[in-house]
Amino acid sequence: MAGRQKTSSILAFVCSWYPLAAADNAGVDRCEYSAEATIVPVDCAGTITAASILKAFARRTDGVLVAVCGRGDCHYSNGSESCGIVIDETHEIMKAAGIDPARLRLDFSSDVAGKRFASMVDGFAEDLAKLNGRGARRTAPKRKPPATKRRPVAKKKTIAKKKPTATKKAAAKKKPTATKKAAAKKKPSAKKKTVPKARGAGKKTSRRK
Amino acid sequence: MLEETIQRTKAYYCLECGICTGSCPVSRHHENFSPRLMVERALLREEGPSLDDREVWSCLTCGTCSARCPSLVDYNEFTRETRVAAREGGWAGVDTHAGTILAFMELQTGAAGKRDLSWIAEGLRTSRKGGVLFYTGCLPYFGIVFRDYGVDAVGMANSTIRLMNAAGVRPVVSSDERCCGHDPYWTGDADTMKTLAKKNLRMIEETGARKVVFACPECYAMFKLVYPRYFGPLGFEVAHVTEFLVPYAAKGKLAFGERERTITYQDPCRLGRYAGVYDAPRELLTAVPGLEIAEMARTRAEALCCGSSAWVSCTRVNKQIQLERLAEAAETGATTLVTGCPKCNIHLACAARDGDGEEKIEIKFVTDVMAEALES
Repeated sequence: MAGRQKTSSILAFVCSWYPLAAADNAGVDRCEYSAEATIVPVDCAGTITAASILKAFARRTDGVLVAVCGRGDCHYSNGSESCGIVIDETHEIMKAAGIDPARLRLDFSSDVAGKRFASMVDGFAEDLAKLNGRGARRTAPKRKPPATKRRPVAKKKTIAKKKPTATKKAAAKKKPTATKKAAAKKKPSAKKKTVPKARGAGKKTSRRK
Repeated sequence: MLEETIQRTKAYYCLECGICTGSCPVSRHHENFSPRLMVERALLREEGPSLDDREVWSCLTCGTCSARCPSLVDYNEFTRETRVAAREGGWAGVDTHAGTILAFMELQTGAAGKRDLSWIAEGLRTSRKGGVLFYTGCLPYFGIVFRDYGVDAVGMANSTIRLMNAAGVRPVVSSDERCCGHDPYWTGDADTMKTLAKKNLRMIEETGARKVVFACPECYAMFKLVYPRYFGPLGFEVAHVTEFLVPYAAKGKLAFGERERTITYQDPCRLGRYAGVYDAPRELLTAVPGLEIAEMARTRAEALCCGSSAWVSCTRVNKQIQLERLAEAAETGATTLVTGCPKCNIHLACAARDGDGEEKIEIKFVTDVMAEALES
């Protein structure tokens, strides 16, 4: 969620076996890497289709990274190889459509070292920055509508996750109006945060009744 | 919404005669699919055409029912508008080829840059500005996706340019061209079609073309029938490549060598029933000395669909329709099945590949056959 609200421009499809372990290890080892990358775990890289990659580009993603287990190391026999075929085809389609194929990178690796994963993502982010600098694709201005459409959905979800804490307050039998007044007395910066919580709490209590 | 659809498509004239269901190539193999019942449900308002019904996406929009309907109900448009409503309600059909084709169409609405034109074969003459434009459509993309099916879509585009060159025309091929939007349009996504159409119309205006030639009948039907509905009269003529070449062949500007062979011709729904072009491909093919056309049992306006359209919903039913058509073509005794549409070629080639190998008939696109017969 947080990644999407930033200027996320790399979509990283990461196979749930070696590459995802490497991404996890990058976190465990505290290896920093580009925050532009949004990681999408997939069961097997063999399930990635050209459509999912092309749709990412259609929705103005700057680059797509596909991290796959090394050749011959697929946990489902031939996912790495079939992913390689799909990526080759996607590269060709991108070339035909006038999008630099360098914006789609395939990384075969059975190395679970976090450091390697972090440097690989960083390397791709740097290359993309160079491509963007040249103005290879950013001829049209950034389109904002798709982002604004999605954001409210993302916010709602985050509120929903925070609900349990809000309901605890509600369980303490504080009326929603009372919390609003209490919030108004607090610092103005706190206002915005507490109001939606109170709304959420009100909904929850009404459902319980 | 439903009321407007009924008004626009004249569904209220339905007599419940059932000719549509009797003519429908899908209903023949699929007992649950009935155009008559779809219209009937809408008229009786009992349930309406339920938008979550997967049969909304089963229609091929081939137009056989509309062509035969005694009440002139426009069932294709009825299906399309139902799909628009279904899409708005959050439903969609199952995209064929893992959605790749509809995805690269969406890609062309904005993110795509200038098209790569390196597929144009050496020795062919094209230009950037001029009076005649060759609209290639998705052929360069199909060349990538359908390589494994034994279909050379890039070759179809090249043979079209070769024929135009032989007729003394140096067509414009633009790198700013976009998909015509046929498939998004027929899957209920008119907005994508409008975005693509605007880009195409601007591109054609910039090249200064007065005539636009199409190899793909779907693009042709979009420009001829749909674009004017949304954008008013177009400032240029449109022609399918066969229509464009017939006068050149008649004047003797295109010289063909002797080719002794019997072929049969598949009328594409967009070229035939939609745009009403039946004679031009036949006239062009018979301009080759020695080439004979053996017509299939169902031909011209009665022609059976190639079994799939708009890259949505390809099931065993579609496969059976395709095998039925291949068997019909083989019965004529022809050695080659010539198609007027690259997509018919792709679909029938796919079925021939998946079939049990009984239908051994070569499937070729019309310009490939003509370019082969050219006297060099």
